[in-house]
This record gives sequence, C-alpha cells and structure tokens, in this order.
Amino acid sequence: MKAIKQILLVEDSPRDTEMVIDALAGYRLTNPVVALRDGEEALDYLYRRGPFAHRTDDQPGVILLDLKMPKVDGIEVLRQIKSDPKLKVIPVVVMTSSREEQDLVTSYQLGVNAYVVKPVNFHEFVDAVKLLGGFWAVLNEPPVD
Amino acid sequence: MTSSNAIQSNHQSIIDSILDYAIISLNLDGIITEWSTGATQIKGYSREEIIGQHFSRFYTQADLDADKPAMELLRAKTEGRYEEEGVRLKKDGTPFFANVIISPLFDSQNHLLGYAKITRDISVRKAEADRLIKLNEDLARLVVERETANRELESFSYSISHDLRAPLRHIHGYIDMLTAATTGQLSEKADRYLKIISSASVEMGQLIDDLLAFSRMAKAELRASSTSLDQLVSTAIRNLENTTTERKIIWNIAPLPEVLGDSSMLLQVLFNLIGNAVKYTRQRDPAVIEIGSLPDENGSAVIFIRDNGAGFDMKYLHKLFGVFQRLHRAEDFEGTGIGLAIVQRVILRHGGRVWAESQVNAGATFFFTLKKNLPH
Repeated sequence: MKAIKQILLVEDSPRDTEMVIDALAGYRLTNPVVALRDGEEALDYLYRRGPFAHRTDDQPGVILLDLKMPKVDGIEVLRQIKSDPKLKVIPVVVMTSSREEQDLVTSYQLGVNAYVVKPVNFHEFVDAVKLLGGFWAVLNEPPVD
Repeated sequence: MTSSNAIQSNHQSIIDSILDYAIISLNLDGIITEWSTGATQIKGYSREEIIGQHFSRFYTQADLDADKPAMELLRAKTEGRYEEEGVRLKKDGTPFFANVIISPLFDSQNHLLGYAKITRDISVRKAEADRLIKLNEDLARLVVERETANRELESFSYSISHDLRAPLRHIHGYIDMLTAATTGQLSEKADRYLKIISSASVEMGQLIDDLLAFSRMAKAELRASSTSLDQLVSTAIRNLENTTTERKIIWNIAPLPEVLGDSSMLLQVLFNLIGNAVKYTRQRDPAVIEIGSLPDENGSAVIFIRDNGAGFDMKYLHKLFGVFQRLHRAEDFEGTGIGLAIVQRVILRHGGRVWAESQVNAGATFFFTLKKNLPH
C-alpha cells in the first residue's frame, strides 16, 4: 500500500496555520500536515538537513507556501525547489494575502503550480485549500482503502 | 566754437542723455578720462571727483586680488572686445550686478588710444533670473518629493494589501471557526452578533480591495492602442451576466467608434458604468439601458450610457465621482463608492472628461470623451 503523502505547510502566521489545518480537517483529509514556520525551515526539511537531518519519510505530496516570511521568503523557497531536479516534481501552491502583481508574475516565472490569494472570506479560503490540497495530495495520489 | 567742437558736444549730450548706461572712457593705464551722466546715476561718483581716478575702484577686493581690471583691459585689447556680467561696487560700497563691455579705442593709424567702458546695472534682471532658477529648483525638488510620495504610496498599498488583510482574514476565519464550534450552543442573539461581525469583516475586506484597485488604476502604466468600444461593451456585458440573468433588460446599443486608449482600463470603465446601469435599474421592469455616441467634441468621441433607473439628485453631483462617496444608502443599493472614482481616474488619465445628468427616479446618463483613433 502506498503511503499517504504529507502536506507541507510553510506559513509564518500561526493563525493562518491553524485555519489551514482546521480547513483540511473539515475536508477529512487523511494526509498528515507538517507545518513549518519559515523558508529556512522548509528548505532544511526538504533537503533533510539541520534539525531534519534524520528525516527518513517521503517528500511531501504538495507544498502550501506563504510568500512573505521572515529569513528566507516564499519566492526564494520556490526558486530553490523549482531549480532542483529532485524537488521540482513536488507541486507548490503559493498562498499569500498580497495581490501584488509582481509576486504573481515572479511565482509563475519560477514555475509555481498554483497561486491563491488568501481570500478574506473564509469559505473561499477553505474552498481554495480544499481544491488545491485535495487535488494535488488526494486526487493525484488517492489513498488506498 | 568750431564745427568739430559742436559735433563733439552734440555727442556728449547724446551720451549724457543715456541714463541706463554708465559710459566712460579710460586711457591706456585704466585712468578714467570721460564720465557720462548715466555713470553718475549708476555708480554715484560725480564727474569732477572720478576723472583722473583708476577704474579698478569699481571692483570688489576679490576681483582686485585676482588682478581682474588689468586682465579685462588686456583681453579687450587682444580680443577686440571684453564682456562679462559680474559684481561691481558703487561709490558707497554697495555691490550691484553689472553687465560690462570694454572696447579698445584706436586712432586712424590703428594706435591704441584707450578704452570705452559701458556698464549696465542688471541687478533687477539678475534677481529675476535668480528667481526663475530658484523656481526651477523648487519645481525639480517638488517632482522628486512627488516621486518619493508615489513610491511611499506604493509601499503603503502593499502593506495595506498584505498587512491589513491578514488580521482581517483571521477575524473572519476565527468567527467562522467559533460559529462551527458553538453550533446549537449559543442564543439566537449571540448567533446574530457573530453573523454581523463576520459580514462586517467581509465589507472591510471589500473596501480595502476596492481602494487597492483604485490606486492600481492610478499608477498602472497606460498602454494606448486602437480600441474597439463595441468589443469592450460586449465583453463588459458578458462579465455582468451573473447580475443580469434573472432580469428583464432592454439593451439599445448603437455602433461605437474606435478610440485610442488602454483597453483593459477602458473595459473597467465600461464594466463599472454598465454595471451601475444594471444595478440602479433593479426595480424597473423592463430596465432600459442605452449605449451610444453623440457628435464628436473637438475631435473626441462622446460616449453615453443611459438608464431608466433610480437616478440621483443633481444637488450631489460634486460628490458623484469622489472616492468612497455614495449617493444611495447601502440598504437600497450595495456598493463601496469606488466604481465612479475609477471611471473618472481612467478617463482623466486618457485626457478625456466625464460627466453625468440625472433626475431622481427618472434614470441617469453618464457621458465621457475619448480621443478617436483616426485612420492614417
């Protein structure tokens, strides 16, 4: 049986993290959610180094990535993922509360798989997370039951 | 009196009648030999006291230290003329800004006799020029300040978009989570409060988004090209479909001219104006919306959008295009009051004008002008 893939959530706002996890729980996603707080942690996690040097589990099935984060920002994380032949197969969904066009253009240039502006409306937000999280992590790799 | 003497004194009287110029002559050494009435007027010395003095007394100490008087005579002699503008001193020591011309004087055998020196007080002109220079500098500084302000506004917009939307999203999100977590446990009143908090946060989000859309329209680069208003009108109406499907609307749309403009911005203009026509005719059955053009105005197309809707009181016309200004209560017609502000901003940026006519309950007509795209 194929293992259910993780959803990697990289988000510096604990409230957004809680909201995403709550939304994913509402969708009854069985995928484990790994929540990291900034870009540096995300890169350490993906490259299995630093505090994650002994990580042996699979790479995540999808990465939900906030853009504006301390230390290493989301754009830089995206750049590194998409320029690494091993990591670039992981779908990346950029989530941000910014509607700045430059972020959108840069994200697409870097090869982002989807880009969602975190909607103020929570239902839209949940729908976006369900759609993206669902599509990439579940529909692409349906859990065998 | 000999005739040559008569001519001489005639010349002298002509020279003395020129009061705006100091006309003097110098010998080879720079000693003053003639002094006009104008010279007295400008420099303050009488003819009697100055004749026989050296002309260097008109120079500032700095000029004297640089040996300027002698240099000027030398250049007049070798170059045939010396002219400059600079500071000279009056008898009482007050400086003035002078235009000075020194010309060498030769006899018929081409021997140098001395120099003619003509000085004008150009302090007023100089002050005027200085004022203009300062004005220009002020303007240049204002432009820099304006650019800085624009950049600040941009980063302000960014922080509104990011930093304000985040806590707002959290308020809304946690209210929803609270609602879900307390289902069936709260009183009807408490449930109503939660709903109100929730919809207030959505409204605030809409206001922020609208304000950002407005500032984007103001700062986005304008890409003008030949634009078919016919196409934009049909696109705008298509984009409005979700508000028109349940409605009975009679559309009277005349062919519209090609204009020169930024098609995405002009689509926004038509979307907002036609959207308003749809919104404010909500109580009409049928609603009649007419779109057409009037005879050109100074080579510009005049477009109008007319409806038979609620209209507005012309008394408040001055507020119509203002940011966040509304002429209807939100409970009657929803909206944030940004649509017409965007319309005006875009049309003004295209060099056109926009205006409106209306009567309460008798519909409204919005007009705007745009440069026509003339066939080459």
